[in-house]
Amino acid sequence: MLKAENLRCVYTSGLIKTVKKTAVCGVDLEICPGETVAIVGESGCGKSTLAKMLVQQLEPTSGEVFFDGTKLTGMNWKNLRKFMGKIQLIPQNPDDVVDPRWTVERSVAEPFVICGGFSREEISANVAALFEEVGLSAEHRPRYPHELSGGELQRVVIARALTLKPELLVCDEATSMLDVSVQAFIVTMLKEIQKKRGLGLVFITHDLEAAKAVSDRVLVMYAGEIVEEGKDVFDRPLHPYTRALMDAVQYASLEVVLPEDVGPLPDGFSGCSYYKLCRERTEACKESQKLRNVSERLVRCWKAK
Amino acid sequence: MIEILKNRQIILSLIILGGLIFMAVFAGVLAPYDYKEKDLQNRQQPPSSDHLFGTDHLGRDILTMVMYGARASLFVGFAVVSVSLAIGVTLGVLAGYYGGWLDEIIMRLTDSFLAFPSMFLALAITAFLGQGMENMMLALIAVEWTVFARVARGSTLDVKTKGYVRASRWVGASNSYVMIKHVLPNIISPVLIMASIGIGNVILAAAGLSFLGFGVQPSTPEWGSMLNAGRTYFSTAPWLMFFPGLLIMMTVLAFNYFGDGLRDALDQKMKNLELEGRF
Ligand SMILES: Nc1ncnc2c1ncn2[C@@H]1O[C@H](COP(=O)(O)OP(=O)(O)OP(=O)(O)O)[C@@H](O)[C@H]1O
Ligand code: SF4
Ligand SMILES: [Mg+2]
Repeated sequence: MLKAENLRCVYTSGLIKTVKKTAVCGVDLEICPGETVAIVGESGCGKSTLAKMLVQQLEPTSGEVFFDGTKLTGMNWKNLRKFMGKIQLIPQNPDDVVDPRWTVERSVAEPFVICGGFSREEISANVAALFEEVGLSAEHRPRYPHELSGGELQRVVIARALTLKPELLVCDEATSMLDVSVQAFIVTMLKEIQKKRGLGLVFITHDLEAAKAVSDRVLVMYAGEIVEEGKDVFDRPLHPYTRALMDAVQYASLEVVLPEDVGPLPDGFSGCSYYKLCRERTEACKESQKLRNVSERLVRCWKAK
Repeated sequence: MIEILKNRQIILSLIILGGLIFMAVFAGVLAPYDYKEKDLQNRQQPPSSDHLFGTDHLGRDILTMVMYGARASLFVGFAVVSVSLAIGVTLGVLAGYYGGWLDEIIMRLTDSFLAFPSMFLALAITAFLGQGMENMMLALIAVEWTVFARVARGSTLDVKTKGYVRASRWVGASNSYVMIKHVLPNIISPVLIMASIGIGNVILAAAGLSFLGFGVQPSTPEWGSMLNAGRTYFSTAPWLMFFPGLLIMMTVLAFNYFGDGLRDALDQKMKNLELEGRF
C-alpha cells in the first residue's frame, strides 16, 4: 500500500555557518494493508523524521514515497489533497494538534467541514460515532482541550485522524507522554480499531514490549538507518544494536558495558554506523555495511548469521 | 470572559470608560447648554453653579464643550484604531503566515513607516493634505497600523508552527481557511490589548494635532482645540485648559489601564491553561 524508497533527510540549520545533520539516511519500507509495523530505536535516531516524510509533512531530501503505486513525493498540494485523508499521522505531542480555542467536538468535525459534502446532521452523527469508537462519552464532546486529561485528549486526536477513513495510520510515540496504564489502554484500542477497519499501522515507540505485542514486523533504527528488520526480532535479535537495546531495557539500572573508546573516527568514515559503540566490532566492520538477507531477516551487520 | 471581570484594574477602567462613552453618546441630552451658544455677557466665567466648569472666551459653557469633545475624541480613537487594526492585522497575518518575499515587503514597509517619529509623520501628512478631521485621521492611521502589523505578524509566526495548523492543512484546508479559522482567533488577544492601548494613544495624538492646529476646525468642540484656544488665557482663566486637559488624561489613562489589565488577565488565563494538567 505505502512504499518508501531510499528516503533520506538532511536538516540544515544555522544561517551563516550551516550545520548539516543527516536524520534519516536511505530507508526503504513497505507497508501492506492491515499490517502493523513497529519502528523502534533510541531517541534522536530519526523516527519522527521518517514518520513525517511518510505522511508528506516533510519533503525528503531525496527518495520517494508511493501510495498504491502513485508517487506522492514532489506532488503539489492540490493533487496531494486526494490522498490526505488516506494517510494520517498521530504526532508525538497531542497537545497542540487540536486548537485550544475550539471544542474538541468541533476539532473532530473539522475534517468533514473542510472536505465538504456533509450535512450538519451527518457530521454530528459521524462525530458521535467516532467519539464512541475511541471510548469517549457524550459529556467530553463540548469540552475544550484543556478540560480533558492527556489520555482523553489523545483519544480525541485519534478520533480526528479516523474521520476521513484512513487506510494508513502512523502513530509517532502516540502513547509515550501518557501514564503506563493509559498507554496499554490506548494501544489496545488502536489495535482494535485497526482490526475492525483493516488499517495499515505504523507504530513508532521506545517501548520494546509494546512493539513486540502489537506488531507483525519490527524495524530497528539506529542513526537514521534501518539496522534490522523482520518478524520476531526480539525473540532472536541478530544485530548487536538490537541486543544492546534489549539489554538496556532489561538491565536499565545496571552499569552499561561500553567498549573501549576507539577515538574519533576518520573523516568520511564509511564503515558500520554502529562501529563506535559496538561490543562486537572487528577490523572488518570498517567496511560499509549493507542490509543483508539473513534467515528471513534484513540485518545491517556482516557478522549476523 | 467572566473571569476577566474579576480583575479590579479592568473594572475600574471599564467604569471610567463607560462613563465617558455614555457622556459622548448622550451629550445632546446631558449637556446643560448648546455648544454653539455664545453668551458674550458671560465670558471667561470661573466655575460656578450655573457653569460647573466655567465658560470660555466666547462665553460658551465648558462642561457642554467637554461633553461634545468626548464625542469627537472617542470617535477618532475608535475609528482610527478600527481601520488601523483591520489593515495592520491583515498585512501582519499575511506576512507571518506566508513568510518569504511577501513578509520581506510588508515588513520593510512597516519599518519605513516606523523610521519616522510618529508625531512627525502625522504632522507631515496633515501638513501635506491640509487641515481637517478626515486628514488628521488618515495621518493617525498611517502611524497606527504598523503597531498592529508587527504584533499580528509575531503572533502568527508562533501560531503557524502549531500542530493544529498542520493538522488542518493535512486534511485539505486552504491557507485562507487556516488563517481565518485558526490563526486569527489565536492571535486576537494580543491584538485587542494593543487596540485598547492604541485608542488612548490615538486620542492623545489627535488632541496634540488639534492643539497644533492641524486637527478639527476650531469651531467644533474637541479637547485638543479647546486646549489651543485656552492657551492665550491661561494666566487669567486656567479652567479653559484645565478641564479638557483633565479629560484627555483620564481617557488615555483609562484605556492604557484597561489594556494592561487585559494583558494581565489574559496572561494569567494562558498560564492557567498551561498549568492545568498538561502532562
Ligand atoms: N527541524 C530540525 N532541524 C534540525 N535538526 C533536526 C530537526 N528535527 C530533528 N532534528 C534532528 O534530527 C534527528 C532525528 O530527530 P527525530 O525527531 O526524527 O528523532 P526521534 O527518533 O523521533 O527521537 P525521539 O524518540 O526523541 O522522538 C535528531 O538528532 C534531531 O536533533
Ligand atoms: S558490522 Fe561490526 S560494528 Fe557494525 S554492528 Fe556488526 S559487528 Fe558491530
Ligand atoms: Mg520522535
